[in-house]
Amino acid sequence: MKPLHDITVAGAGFVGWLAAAALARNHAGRGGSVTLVPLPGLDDSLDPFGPATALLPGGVEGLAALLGVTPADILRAGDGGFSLGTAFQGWEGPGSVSFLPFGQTGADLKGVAFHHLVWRARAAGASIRMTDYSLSTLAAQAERFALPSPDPRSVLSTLAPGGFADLRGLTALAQRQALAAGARLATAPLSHVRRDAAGRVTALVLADDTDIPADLFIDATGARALLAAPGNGWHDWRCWLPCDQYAVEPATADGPPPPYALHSADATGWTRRIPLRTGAWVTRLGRGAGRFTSGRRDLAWDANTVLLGASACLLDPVGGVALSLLITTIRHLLSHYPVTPGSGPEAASFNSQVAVAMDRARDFLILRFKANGRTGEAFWDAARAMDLPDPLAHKMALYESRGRIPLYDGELFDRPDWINLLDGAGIRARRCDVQANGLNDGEIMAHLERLRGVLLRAAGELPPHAQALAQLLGGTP
Amino acid sequence: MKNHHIKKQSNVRVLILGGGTAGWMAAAALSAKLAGTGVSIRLVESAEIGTVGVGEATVPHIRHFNASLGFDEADFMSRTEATFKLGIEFRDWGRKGDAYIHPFAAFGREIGGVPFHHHWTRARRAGRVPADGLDAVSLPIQAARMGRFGHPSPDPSSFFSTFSYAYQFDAGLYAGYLRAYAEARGVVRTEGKVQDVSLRADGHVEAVTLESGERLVADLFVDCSGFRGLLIEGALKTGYEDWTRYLPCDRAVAVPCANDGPPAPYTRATARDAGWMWRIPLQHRAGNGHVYCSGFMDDDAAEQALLAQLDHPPQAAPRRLRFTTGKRRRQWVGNVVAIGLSAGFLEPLESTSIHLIQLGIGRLLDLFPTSADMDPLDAAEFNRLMDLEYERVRDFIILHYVATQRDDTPFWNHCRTMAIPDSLATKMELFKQRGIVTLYRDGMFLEPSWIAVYLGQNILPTHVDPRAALVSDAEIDRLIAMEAEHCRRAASSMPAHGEILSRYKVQVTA
Repeated sequence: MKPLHDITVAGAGFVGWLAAAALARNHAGRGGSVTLVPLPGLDDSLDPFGPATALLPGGVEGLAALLGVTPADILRAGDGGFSLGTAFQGWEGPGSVSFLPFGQTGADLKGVAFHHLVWRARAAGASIRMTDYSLSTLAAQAERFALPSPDPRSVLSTLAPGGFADLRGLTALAQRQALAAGARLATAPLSHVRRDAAGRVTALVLADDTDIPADLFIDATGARALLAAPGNGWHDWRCWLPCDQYAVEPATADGPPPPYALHSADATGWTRRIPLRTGAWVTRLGRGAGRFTSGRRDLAWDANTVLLGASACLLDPVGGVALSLLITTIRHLLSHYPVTPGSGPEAASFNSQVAVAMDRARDFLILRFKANGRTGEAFWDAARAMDLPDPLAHKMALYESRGRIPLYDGELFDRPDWINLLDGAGIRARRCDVQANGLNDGEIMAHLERLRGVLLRAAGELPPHAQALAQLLGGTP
Repeated sequence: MKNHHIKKQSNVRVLILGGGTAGWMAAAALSAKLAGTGVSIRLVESAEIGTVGVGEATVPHIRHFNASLGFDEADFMSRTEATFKLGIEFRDWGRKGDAYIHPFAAFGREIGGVPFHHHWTRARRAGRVPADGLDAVSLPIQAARMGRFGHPSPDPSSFFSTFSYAYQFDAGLYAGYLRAYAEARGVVRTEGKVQDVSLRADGHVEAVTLESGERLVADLFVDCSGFRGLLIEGALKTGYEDWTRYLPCDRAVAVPCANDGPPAPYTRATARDAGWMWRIPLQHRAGNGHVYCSGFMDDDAAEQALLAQLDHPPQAAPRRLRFTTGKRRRQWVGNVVAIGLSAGFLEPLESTSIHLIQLGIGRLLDLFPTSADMDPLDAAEFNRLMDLEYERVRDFIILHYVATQRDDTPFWNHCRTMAIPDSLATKMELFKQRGIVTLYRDGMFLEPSWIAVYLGQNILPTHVDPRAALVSDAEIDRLIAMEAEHCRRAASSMPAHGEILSRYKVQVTA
């Protein structure tokens, strides 16, 4: 059988070059080809929210592995630093501040989950912020940083940093890696897509009338999704993720980059500030203009076409999940790479795994809007009043009932992420874990004090983020 | 802070019905985890009602259960006549004459970012490795074949950390061991048979009345009454999902005999004309059984077949069992939680009975009622999780029957060609065509287990990951040979299984 050698990628932006590099490194070595067809205009292949992007924990390493470079190369090329979480300003009401850390929060005591200990301590009169028991939170506040320890006994093993990057720098890096692995860029931009009677893509036609056929097409054309078949519809999630307009502008750095993103809510939307080493990018999200539609494509892999990036899924950036979802999707594509034409069982498996990952990531974002504390503002009142999709409704109900977070297949976020978000928003369970009743208040308090001491000491010993970055990147702070 | 001595108290009264493996595992775990919470636990059992001793072989999760109760391994093993278990040997499943071991470990290591089994499949297709060549690249399989055992290393960089192990024990003795533990922690045991169950107006169980006339009121009832499901079915009429169209075996006959030499560190499951036979070596004897389908074999023939292949004369009269494979429609209804055979039955082909009990107990503890008023959400979440587990175990067991080339008996012709659940058909298709194992969050069998059975039963993928071709055949051959040599040497360095067992005995006596 003829192997599926020839891949054509529509869109030579970040998503296109990343996919090309990953595919070429893994598949072109067998004599196949990877050809990118450029599109005119700005690169919105990942999302339209500006050149800066966030990476969840594991994202820097995941990207490095796909490109065949080191994590330091990613930060260097992306002008980025590390991220220990997200600071939310104004989401629980004007003037409020909370921090959603990456990594572990607290520690269990005798099999009782940490958040139940906190709730018990509060019931006993203690005033406690749950996320203050996260090393990431304490380090972020002091703008300090260290890489996590692989030794589970070390308190540094509770860290799980993500990062930030300028997509333009990453695109250049991905392009270098893709070209080195044998991918090539078509000489003229895309004119149109040629399809057969069934709507299946047969070739990309360039502006100079050249046809580029392929065994497999990749759609990296952003939300326009130029290769998507007309029947492959878009699940519109605006009923849950209310923003549909955005504006992007650069900002100047005020000092070294903090190791966190800042998401500030206001009366009619919210604003994201992503720090880079030499500046920052500010994106304002709101409702009204209809410039984007949060949602996902029905089939990420349809016949001979795989959609990646915003052509497959576009989400409000409040969760910072776009790039992590893309990395997961490309990994699935590599492990499910087709060996026969058309969409066999690989496509079905790929689609179901990719779809649940997107749906569960979506749920986390929905909760960020739902769990707001801004009353008397139409935008936020509506978000609080919205009905939740079923799996999230069950999750929320079980949490509100007894503080338990059910996890489903494909979850991007772990229990502490959900609990920190909900508890930070002032949403508490009606009941406490019965096993916590086996502990008395004294031992709970002592446990919390001991933890806090360990974490504060550890945070105090971490180097400043700028210094840690400089050491890793081999420059000066 | 004042009032530091204060504890919240939950006055939930628990009544566990049935004192088999499920009942005493539940009693032991609840008494340990809910100590000091105010929860009171009573267990009702009748010496007249026998317990079903299936599930003498376990999976590695049992070690976490034992450890969480603080059991000392040597003491526990000595008192339950336990042996170590490195896996299950499946004989005659793919074809007559085949034998493979499903170990608690992965085969080989990733090469060039591609899982080992893709490379192995290529080598196998080219005839560069023999059909049973996977055995060679598994440390626990090598050890099992040599009759050796050693504990895995806790150091993740050690080659000896790459496998896990379980136990084979006498379930009756285990129940007794757990009983002593539970009673020492305040569980009250009441001897008696239930005569009547009274319901409250809201349909919850209010109390059970024993033949003695004693009436036992409780807030939460844990139904461990076995197949009958005295509360979940008898009183609440929950209904049962019958899975015999996928797993047609409905009878078993069991008999113990002496071990043939030192006990083997693995369980054996041999496919037969209308079912399969188990052999579970304990310290003092071997448990034997024949699971069969009554539509294809009668009880006497099944018993004769079992007796005919024993290593030694039977030590007791054969015991006959009947069962219907399936699952209670809901395992937690109102204030009744079914655990063990009252919750469902899956034949012990992959030693899952005790594990499913353990899962039920774990989830019950996670979702334990905080007061006498039940929150239906707790039951909904329990049922969601247990349904996933049962269905995924079911699919894995069905795989053994459909992934066969046997056409020598009507039973195997039926199994080979029967309709299977879509959830399994999709998984099998993906593996057959492309060597990909479907991954999921809840469900005990992970990728290595599926690979062991697929490849062990001759389901060789048609295509593998194309990236596998980027590594040369010579390099793959070299790596496979090196891995096999590692495994062989490591296994050879382990002590004989019997030797470790006798060391443990000495430790306990001294």
